[in-house]
Amino acid sequence: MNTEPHDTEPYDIAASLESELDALWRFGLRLTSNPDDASELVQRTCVRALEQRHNYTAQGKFRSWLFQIQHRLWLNEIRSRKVRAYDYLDTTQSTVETESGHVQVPENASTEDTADAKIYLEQVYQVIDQLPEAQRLAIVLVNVEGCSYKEAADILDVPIGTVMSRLARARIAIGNMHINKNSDDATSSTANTSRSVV
Amino acid sequence: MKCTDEDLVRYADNTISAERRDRLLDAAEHDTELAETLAALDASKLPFKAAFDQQPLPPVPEALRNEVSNLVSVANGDNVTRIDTARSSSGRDRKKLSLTGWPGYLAQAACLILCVGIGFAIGRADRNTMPTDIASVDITSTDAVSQRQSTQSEWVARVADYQTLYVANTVGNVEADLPGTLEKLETLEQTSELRTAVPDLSEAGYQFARAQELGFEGKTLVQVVYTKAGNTPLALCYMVADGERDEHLMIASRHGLGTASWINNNQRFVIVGNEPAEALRDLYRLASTEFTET
Repeated sequence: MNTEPHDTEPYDIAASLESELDALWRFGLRLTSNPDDASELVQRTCVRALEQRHNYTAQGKFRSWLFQIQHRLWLNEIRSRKVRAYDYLDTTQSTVETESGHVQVPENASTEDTADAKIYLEQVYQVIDQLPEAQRLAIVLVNVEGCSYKEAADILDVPIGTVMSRLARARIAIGNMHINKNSDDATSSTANTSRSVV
Repeated sequence: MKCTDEDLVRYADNTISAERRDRLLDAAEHDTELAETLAALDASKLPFKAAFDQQPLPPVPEALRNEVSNLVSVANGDNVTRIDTARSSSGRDRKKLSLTGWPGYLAQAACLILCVGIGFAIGRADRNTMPTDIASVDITSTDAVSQRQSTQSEWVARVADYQTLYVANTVGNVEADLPGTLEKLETLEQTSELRTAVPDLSEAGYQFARAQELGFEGKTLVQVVYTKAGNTPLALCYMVADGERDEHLMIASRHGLGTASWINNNQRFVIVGNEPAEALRDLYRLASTEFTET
């Protein structure tokens, strides 16, 4: 969130739009998981932002304002397509479960395995990616994009309490995945040791 | 103690006050469930941003970058829009032919982009006196050979640029109102020199979606949009010419879209769509026939 509005001069949205293109593209991909959809979404976001540029109050951060437009457009899109809409339901589940009822954690996601940080980060990403959409987006906005809780609430068009609820459930789910994984690793390590002794 | 979601999130993000944190930890000593929750939150302190930053994302498509750049260029010419507004206010008011379901921002984009043409025309007409900032609004690098010749190509280029903003979803959910549109076009025809029609392009697989009245160089421009399954929307645009003589069909391409343009009986026409030259000729035949018959 490095784009700050000026307090005394009209904010030049047109000039700032291009500098935010990478962020819009990134968030578009996070929302749509599809480059074609993301491209169209970003394009429509830019058009809408230019159309509404006189409504921008410059009270908030420009990128948050753009993300809000982008998210609203995407919600409209998925509603019209009737796809993935269920992902946006604010479910009450606090963990991500597999069909067998167990928390699914990528293998070899040990924090102690610093020798392969790249794999570890990939597994962190996968854990987040398994969250329900509403929780995942909250995490992306706050913990990845650096939005404040209030900004995330504005972007997602929900009360801040809802954002807090989503974030809390997401963090607990992520933590439990991690704890269970470490526990499994420990069990596996013990078994391997036993076998090697035998 | 009562533990809120905000407490938990701030605990996880290390933004909780020391006092509140101590109270949480104290409470957890007597509350197994809370202790497990805090343990989970401790375990959730992961490098989220680094994990996402590591993800290889495709770069911003060059076409998208160019489109946004064009939009920004147009928006920067806002002064040109005001000039056009002032001019048109002394003439006949412009009204949308059919706005039911039309995305306002696309209509705005159309006006903005077409106003680039206005800016360019003004810049050229008054090249000796206009400041260069007006000319800088131009998003083409066309060098005018003669004003009359370039006017047609500029018009075609501007319409094609606008059409690149269209995708199937843009008009995918629109309910076509052909009778209502024809009625409005007839009214427009009675109050202008424009010959109007909504040609039937169904032989080429295109169905009418909607029509809209736009502005170019202070004149009315009618845009009729058609859709075809599996293809991007196609547009037929027409406006009164400046007394130019008739020009035969000219097929060209711009930004990956095909254009078929001609001038007939002091009226400019252009068809813009994702079609090859042969298909454009067929579309020209279908469209031009209806105007000839009108």
